[in-house]
Amino acid sequence: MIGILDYAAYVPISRLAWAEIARAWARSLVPPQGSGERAVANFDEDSLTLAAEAALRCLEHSEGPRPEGIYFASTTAPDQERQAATVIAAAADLPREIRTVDFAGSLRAGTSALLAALDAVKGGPAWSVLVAAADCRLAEPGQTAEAFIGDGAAALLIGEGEAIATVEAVHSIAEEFPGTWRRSGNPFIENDDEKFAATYGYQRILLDAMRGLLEKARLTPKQLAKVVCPAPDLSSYTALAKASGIPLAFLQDPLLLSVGFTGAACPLLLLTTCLERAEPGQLILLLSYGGGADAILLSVTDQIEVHRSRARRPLLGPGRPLASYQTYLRYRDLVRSQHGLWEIEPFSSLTMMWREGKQNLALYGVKCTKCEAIFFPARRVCPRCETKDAFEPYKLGRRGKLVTFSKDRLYPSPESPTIMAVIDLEGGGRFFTQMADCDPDAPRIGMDVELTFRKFHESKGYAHYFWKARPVHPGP
Amino acid sequence: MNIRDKVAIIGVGATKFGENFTQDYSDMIVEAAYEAFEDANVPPSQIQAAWLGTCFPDSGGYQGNAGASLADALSLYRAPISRVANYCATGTDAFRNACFAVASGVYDIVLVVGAEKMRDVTPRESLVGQLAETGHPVHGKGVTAPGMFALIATRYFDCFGIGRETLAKVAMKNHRHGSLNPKAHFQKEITLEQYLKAPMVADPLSLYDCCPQTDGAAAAVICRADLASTFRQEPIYVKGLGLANPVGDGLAFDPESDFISFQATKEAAQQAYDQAGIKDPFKEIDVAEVHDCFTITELVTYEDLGFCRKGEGPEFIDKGVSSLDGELPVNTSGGLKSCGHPIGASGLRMIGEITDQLRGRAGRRQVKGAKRGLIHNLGGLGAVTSVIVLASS
Repeated sequence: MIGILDYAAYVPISRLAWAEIARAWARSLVPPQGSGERAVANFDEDSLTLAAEAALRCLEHSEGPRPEGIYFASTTAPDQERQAATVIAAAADLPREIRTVDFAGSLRAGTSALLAALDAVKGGPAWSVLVAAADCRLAEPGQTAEAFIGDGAAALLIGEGEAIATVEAVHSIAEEFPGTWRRSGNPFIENDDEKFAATYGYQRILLDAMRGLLEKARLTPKQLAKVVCPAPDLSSYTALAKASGIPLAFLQDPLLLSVGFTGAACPLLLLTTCLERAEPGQLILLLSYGGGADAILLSVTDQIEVHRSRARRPLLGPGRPLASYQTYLRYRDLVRSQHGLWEIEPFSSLTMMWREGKQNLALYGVKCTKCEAIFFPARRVCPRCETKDAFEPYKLGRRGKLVTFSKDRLYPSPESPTIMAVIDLEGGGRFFTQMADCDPDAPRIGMDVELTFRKFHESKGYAHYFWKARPVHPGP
Repeated sequence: MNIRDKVAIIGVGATKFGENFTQDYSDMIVEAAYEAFEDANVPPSQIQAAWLGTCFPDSGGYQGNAGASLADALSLYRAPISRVANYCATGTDAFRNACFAVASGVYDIVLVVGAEKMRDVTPRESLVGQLAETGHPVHGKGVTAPGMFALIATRYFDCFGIGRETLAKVAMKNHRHGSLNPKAHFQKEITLEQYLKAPMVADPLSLYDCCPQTDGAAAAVICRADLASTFRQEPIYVKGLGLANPVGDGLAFDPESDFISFQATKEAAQQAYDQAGIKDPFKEIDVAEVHDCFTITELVTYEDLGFCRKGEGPEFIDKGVSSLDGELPVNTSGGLKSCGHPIGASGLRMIGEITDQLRGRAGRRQVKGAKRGLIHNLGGLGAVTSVIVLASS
């Protein structure tokens, strides 16, 4: 059975309240109805790290063979020329002999990657493909869209096996439509006539896709258990819901008030939340919009109950308020200091980074075959038994306990204090790194932490990714 | 061969430590070296070889990078000069290497200079920049000097149930001693209230737990012990020279680090004690200059040097044992805390302070009847420690 074998989501911990955005601009930017908040990626996160987090979560409980492909989807890939999928594959410790692709150019990139993964598995080149979609889009500060956009990621493991959901029908439309776009070199999304875009773009094209799919599958809307449809903003979504004739109860919560519109990741992220509560036999309609639309009909299998019985981390995890709108601006590098977001340009050698690629990205230390001592980083002569070249690579665990820590207010960083942590890793080895997403009052000796893949800096104009430690139970 | 009694110090000198905006690197070397020549009653022409200790070369990595910088400053082109760098233990290690050269019999009389120009750039560009912008691109990235030593303070506090008030006592003592030292960067006492109100730098370390960014140079003229009395009366003898680097740079990554002590200090001290024939350092050492780059370092060092047992450091400072009028005065100069820490110069400044104490010419800071003194100089997060024992006879 070909379909979705596993799934995971990742929403960064910080939430920016609409009210805080309104306060910062001293005017009501968002529709007055309701109060919402949006997820904001930390300063050390980008769409690559968000996707990596979702991908690693998706793989952490999967016991089967490793995927033979990584498809990354985003409209905000950190680099124009440097494949994010390859970096994620390295962090996930996948072998070199896999297929990696970045999907981009449209908010439909997430479902495009999903459909391409299904084709790859059906066509035979891969046993399974991990699709990881993430977005970290920017609206110009002060624009309404700033409140509706959210940062987030989702990952789906597509393959042949005990699928929890299968794809029954697909209907795609390609249509050039001047709704939302972003030119190369512009960090901010652009648009023109919002009402025109909402009605003649988003609403018309999605309804066309939905009708087309239902026709193909010979279904009526009433046979659908859930319709999963991304919402770029409140009014477009409300209008679409009304026009579709689908009762609100059948629409999957688009998370617009709690996470925000997560761009290319949104359809997949919403699908994961839908699967959390899905029952065997249910039909789910997944919609995706951008340069046309994708409509995908999924059928939930009995396997969903087996999946649910396994111990897994909460899908979306907790959120906590971002201190202020200014913090959001700083995290997104929208108020620049003289030296930019990272303030400093640490020494780097890219030759060295390449040489240490497996150690640093896939997180390998060494274990002495004579005395079993474990070290990170790698070395050649054992400091315990002084044997030369008796080390073998040792895959480090990503969980551990805090041995000691400091809260450094001197280190130049977008966020102060920089909390440094010494960690004893499960399975052995000691690690020393920065903490991420950590309340300064939270660290305690003995506290449980886990390693998370983050961006450290951009020395030589090249994003350096490595592992930070995050509290397993955040907050004080 | 034991180094004991092979080498004698016949002259010491040092600049005023501080933000020496009107002096460059070479000016400070000239001032420190000529003071040492005068003290030794030795003209520069008699110097047969020299060692220069500078940790971070000035002028974009040029000045202080080679012995040539010392030759240029003093026009000492005749003598062979080596530059030594060994983190914050640079000064004492330059001295140690010079001692071995003299003890070998190759040279009779040599010069050792430690110099560091830190305030030709902003404090942010100085040592903070050194740590934030150099080193491995990602491993341990995020650490600064106070951040490193705060790891020790956090763990020490947790293990022994103490808090910042104990560290305050170290800071207040060293500021009190510094107020008596005309060459110290800071020459003022501080109150507990000032300490507690000061901004945090790297929790749990606050401003008054940290030594400042300082310029300075210090020098010593040393010679064969058997020739010392021909130059001056009251030479000071080298009794032991220990240096240890048992964990290297990777203390924070080492699964065996306990974060409440520095193995390097214990091992370097044992080497020096063995050479000097010291069995009970608390009883046999009269005065000590230790590496209080941060207050927590001094606290841990009392224990690692064997002045008291592990966990008894807080009691040691509480009871005033290490105060000027205590049983074993520590950092009579005011330490790095008050003198500042021009990295390469610090070790030689400490040697100068102990030399002065043993000669009985430390003025208001004089420890009565001091006969034997110790210098402790630690680099990195316990990556290297140098321990020296000196005595007046």
